[in-house]
Amino acid sequence: MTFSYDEDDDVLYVTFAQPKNGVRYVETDRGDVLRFCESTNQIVGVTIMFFADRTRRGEVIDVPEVGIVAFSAGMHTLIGHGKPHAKQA
Amino acid sequence: MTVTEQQRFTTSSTELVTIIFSVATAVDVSLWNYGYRQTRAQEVRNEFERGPTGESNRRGSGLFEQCFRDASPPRISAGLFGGAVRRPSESATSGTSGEHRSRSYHAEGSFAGFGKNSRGLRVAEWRDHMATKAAQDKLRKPLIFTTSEPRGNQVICAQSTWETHVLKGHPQMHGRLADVQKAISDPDKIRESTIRNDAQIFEYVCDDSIQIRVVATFDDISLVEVGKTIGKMNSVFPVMPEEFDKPNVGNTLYVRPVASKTTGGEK
Repeated sequence: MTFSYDEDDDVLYVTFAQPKNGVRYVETDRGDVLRFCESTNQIVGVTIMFFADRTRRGEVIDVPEVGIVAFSAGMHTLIGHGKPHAKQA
Repeated sequence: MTVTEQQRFTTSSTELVTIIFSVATAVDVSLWNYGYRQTRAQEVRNEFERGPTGESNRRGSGLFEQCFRDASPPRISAGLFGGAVRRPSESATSGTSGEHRSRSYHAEGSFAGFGKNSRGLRVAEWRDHMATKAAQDKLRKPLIFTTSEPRGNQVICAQSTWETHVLKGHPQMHGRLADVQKAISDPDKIRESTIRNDAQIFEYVCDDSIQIRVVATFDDISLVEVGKTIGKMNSVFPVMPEEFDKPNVGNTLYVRPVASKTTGGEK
């Protein structure tokens, strides 16, 4: 796992693994970006926007609930909530 | 010499002394004011030219040269007699604040006048507008690009941001620098950020149908709509909008007019 903190822009890039294949990006409802490996359906990284600013404000940085509708149930389990959202019309 | 003649002589002498004093004061103040402006302007130029990159400095130099072009030679025509040198606040708007005086000068296009608030006003305006400490810090960094977004604000991207962080954290952005620039200069939409007030999101669908989102923060968010602030790209990433229903975007601030999208770009 590697960390790369962009101090000028206050963005923290966390990489859990280097994916062998394609990566899909999902933006969470808190503005962070989750990176999933398409072949393994595992999180390979997370990008946390305005990390220092948010931690200074006392915000808890976690992997939040997202509105993914296309990923598998296992993927939803991986990111911390059980049920996918109903797809909006 | 009679008493009346003596009185006339005394009165004439007093008037003559007053006139000479007024002329000397007006000339001296004007020359001093002009010299001060030139010296201060040179200081600002030197300060700005210390920036490391060409792009931002060229832009800054342009603004600076505009300061010079607008600076008129010393004007001593106003108020030569009677010692009434015209003050800027009396000549234009009725505002009493320094900002109003400054704007009245701007409308006049002249540096005539003197006083604490009128010295080098264009330079002061420019410094207030562009050279906040944060902006200066940004401009001194090596930039990989500078572009203008649709509302007229300059948005910069530091070389370290792109090469050290974005490409390593989001390797799928390799080869998409031109797309990022287009996302800023000609976005499909600009939205508010839901995280920070001074951040905005630029959405752009690339020619290969990949949508990217650029997160940029602005120095003074209140000046964004009038195009008078400077922004900085924080990060950029591709997104799949069809796969999540709660995107991190707020209200739409800008939508590109239909059929005005430009094509092409680095791949």
